[in-house]
Amino acid sequence: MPTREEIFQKVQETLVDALVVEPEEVTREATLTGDLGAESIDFLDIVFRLEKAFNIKIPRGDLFPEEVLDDPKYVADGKLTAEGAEELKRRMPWAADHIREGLEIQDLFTVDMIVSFIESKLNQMAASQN
Amino acid sequence: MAESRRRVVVTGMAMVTPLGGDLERTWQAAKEGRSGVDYITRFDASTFPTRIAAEVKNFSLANYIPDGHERYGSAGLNAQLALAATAMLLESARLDISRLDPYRVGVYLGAGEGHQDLVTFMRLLRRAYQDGRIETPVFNAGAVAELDPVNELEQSPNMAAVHVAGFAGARGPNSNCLTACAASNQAIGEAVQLVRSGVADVMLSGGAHSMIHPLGVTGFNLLTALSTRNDEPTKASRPFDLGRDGFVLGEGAGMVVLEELEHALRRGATIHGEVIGYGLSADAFRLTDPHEDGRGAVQAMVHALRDAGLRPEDIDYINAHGTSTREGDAVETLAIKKVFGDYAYKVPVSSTKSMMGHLIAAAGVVEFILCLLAIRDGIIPPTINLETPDPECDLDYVPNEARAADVRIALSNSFGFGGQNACLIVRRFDG
Amino acid sequence: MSDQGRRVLITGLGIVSPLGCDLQSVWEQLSAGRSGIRRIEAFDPEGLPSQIAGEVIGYSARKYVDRQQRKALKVMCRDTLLAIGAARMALEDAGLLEWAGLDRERTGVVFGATMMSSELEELAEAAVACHDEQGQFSLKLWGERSIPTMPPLWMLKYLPNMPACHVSILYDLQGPNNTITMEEAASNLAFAEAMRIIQRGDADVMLAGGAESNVHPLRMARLCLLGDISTRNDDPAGACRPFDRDHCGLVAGEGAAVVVLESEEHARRRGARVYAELSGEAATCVANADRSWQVAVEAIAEVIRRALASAGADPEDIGFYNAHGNGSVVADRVEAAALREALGSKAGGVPVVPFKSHFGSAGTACGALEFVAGVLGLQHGQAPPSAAYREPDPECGLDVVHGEPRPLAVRSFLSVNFDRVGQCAALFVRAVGD
Repeated sequence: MPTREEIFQKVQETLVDALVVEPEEVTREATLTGDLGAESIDFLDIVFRLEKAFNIKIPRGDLFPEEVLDDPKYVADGKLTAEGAEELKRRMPWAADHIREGLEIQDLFTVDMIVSFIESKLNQMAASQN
Repeated sequence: MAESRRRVVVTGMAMVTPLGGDLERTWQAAKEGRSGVDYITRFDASTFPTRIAAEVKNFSLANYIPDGHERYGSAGLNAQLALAATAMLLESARLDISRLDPYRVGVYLGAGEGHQDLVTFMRLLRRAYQDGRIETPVFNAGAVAELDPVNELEQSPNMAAVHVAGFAGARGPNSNCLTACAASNQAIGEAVQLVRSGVADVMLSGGAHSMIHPLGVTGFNLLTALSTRNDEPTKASRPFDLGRDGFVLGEGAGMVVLEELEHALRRGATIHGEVIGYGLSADAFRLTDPHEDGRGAVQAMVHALRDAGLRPEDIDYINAHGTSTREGDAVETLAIKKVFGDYAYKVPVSSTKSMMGHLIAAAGVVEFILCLLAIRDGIIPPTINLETPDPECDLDYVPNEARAADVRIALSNSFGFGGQNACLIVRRFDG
Repeated sequence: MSDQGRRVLITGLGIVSPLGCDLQSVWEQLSAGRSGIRRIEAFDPEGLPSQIAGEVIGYSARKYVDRQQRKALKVMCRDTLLAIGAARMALEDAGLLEWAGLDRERTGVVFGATMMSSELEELAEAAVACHDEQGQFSLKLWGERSIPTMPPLWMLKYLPNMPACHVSILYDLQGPNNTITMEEAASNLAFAEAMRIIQRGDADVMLAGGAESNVHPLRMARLCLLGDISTRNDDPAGACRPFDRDHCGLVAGEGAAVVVLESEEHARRRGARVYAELSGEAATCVANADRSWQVAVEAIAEVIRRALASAGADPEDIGFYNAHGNGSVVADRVEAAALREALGSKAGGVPVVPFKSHFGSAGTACGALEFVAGVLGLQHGQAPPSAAYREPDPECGLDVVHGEPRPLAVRSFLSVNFDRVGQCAALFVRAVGD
């Protein structure tokens, strides 16, 4: 199992390549859309690159549950509704601390959240092998 | 708008679509609200994320050009579809170009690229892939020895236009644009401009496209742009419905004769309508996402209205781009509201892609012809599969059943991947 | 007969070519009669009958995009990368890059381009995964195992409309946007369409141009298969010799060129520097079923006549003939016959410049490269010499400029391009005031 710091390093490299940004911009707190300029096609590319970097499979919608964000029940005026926050916490337990009602969608996905996702994914894989 | 400009009328129309092998069959199915979507048969798609598409059923050029179709045997499917439509077009328009100055009859298509020979290409690549890299000398030697030169040439996206010109005997301006989903609307618009400006008297215009081949489906699947509702093919294309999950690939061709009014009257041509408005714009925003304010779509519609000298209230029907993608349908709805104000809720808007899928480059012309047929017969084709309206999409989409209506003027929208937008306005011809 | 409502002026040039990536170097090389054709460096060309090309060397697209826009580079293939450099240079040259007065809704883009070829590396894993143990290709395996190996944005990189789309996005140009996919005739058709868009008032400023790279194994293999390609691999600079006794086929090329076209009123109002006027255009097509370069003489002759008529010009108004001249024996002879047919006794007196001897054949981009080269000629009052011409092909009988640049008696040129299936397009350009 790589350490959290090692995972961050790899995630950082991946985002530098996918979003063509400088490494120092990819801080743990940086938001993908707001700070790093990701648009919808970039999310596809990030998932593809993470799969290669960590040799894992990330089913569509696991890391970035876009269909939740497309649902007017869960998002209004670019912000999470109470229901939306509940749904996302359920879908993304690794990011539960960060998700709250009223959170702007462009601030939703952070670098740290990807690190947490990968960590939980690798943990699961390690657990299933034992 | 110059009062003195040359007027351009439509004196012929033909199409080959997933709903039918010709115009009347397509129109009949559209009026009945039938879906042309089914499982892909052109190739084994059983392991693809998307296994459904709207194919043209049992297509054979011999059915359209009984004498001489062999000459086009090596042409790509796009060109063959375009030729089939052209054969019907010339016949129905009673257009004999040999009696005209052939240099004043041109061709402007929005036709697609041909299909790569995937099997050979992959064999060559596999052989050249050694120790983790491509050995180009191995690839080069294999490609030169094993690719079929005729097939390679026929893939080029200029070929449909040259085949149409050769078949029809048109020697005037010849062009092809490939601006993704806006292509054939843009081709018609620019062809109209060639007639207006006096460069040509007659233009054969339209488009043809099939991306229902392994690399086409692969490319769109990778982008997650296609519906994966594989269990219910006929329900998969559902523009403006809350359950929409991407577009469905279609294929086909449409062709129209665009003719200067006096020229058409002199030869006693049947006039199906007059093209009075053409509007163009670019989103200039992102490669696949429309601008969230719908600014490009708004501009294209506004320009078309201005070109036609019309107010929004003059439009009786809008054939929407409506591809059944989440973003696209919502943004188009927003754009229609911005242009039409309160009238947006009164004007019927329908997406015929709900029935025939997305013909990509050929979508514009087929929908343009459906507008002419709506004018001709006073019937608006429906948006099928509209079961649970999306709250963001709250216009009158003519859900599920065709509707009788007096349509005098119709607007047809096409918005392309990459941000090109092209709108056309046609009016019933009353002299 | 065409709508002469608004005059269309040329106010900016940008070029990314085998002769260099700035106007001054390109002109120096052109006027010295140098060829940009060399042995291919981008990949090992062994195995191809023709191993030479007009290749762009030392170009970095990164230089031409602002830092916050660099992300776009990863979804651009070679054709698009070439285009964005040329577009930026043209905007800068026209003084529009920083000009706050630019109405972006009235500024558009029309390029010639074609379906691009995938970088082979992007498909390598897919190619392995779709074959079974017996080495048989299987679509089932393709769907199951190959698709997941491919980059998700793969297709977006190769669509023909991408050069024009990326340029519109980079510079927020919201006006008309089109991509013409007509092989060697494409750029000329794009210029003509941009001209009509300005004439009819749908835009004030248009970026017209073309971009294509044939320096790619699959594209080179295709050109070789189609034939009429020079295999003079041991003499790259002398390999493309249009209208010369020793012409032996075309040479592949790559490049991009973009021109800022502007309505006269708009250009004057902002005090733009004016290179010349695009004053006439025409297009014809006589379908050539055998797909060789044996294009109908009549199609080319007619496009020449109609372009002159559209510009209100006579044969003696042609400063030089900016030829298609690709070096194919068949194409050169057909073109020469067409020029004689269209201009009659005047044909022999028109200086002929075949820029493909310098650049090679860059497909849909060739018209744009040759347009920029032609305008540079007008600017300097000279027709540059062909890069490889020595002895005339007696069957062509044209006055091909060679050796030294030739001073222009009239500052204008007629540009013609056509493809092997018979699609032809011509433009007429004249200096303003002449």
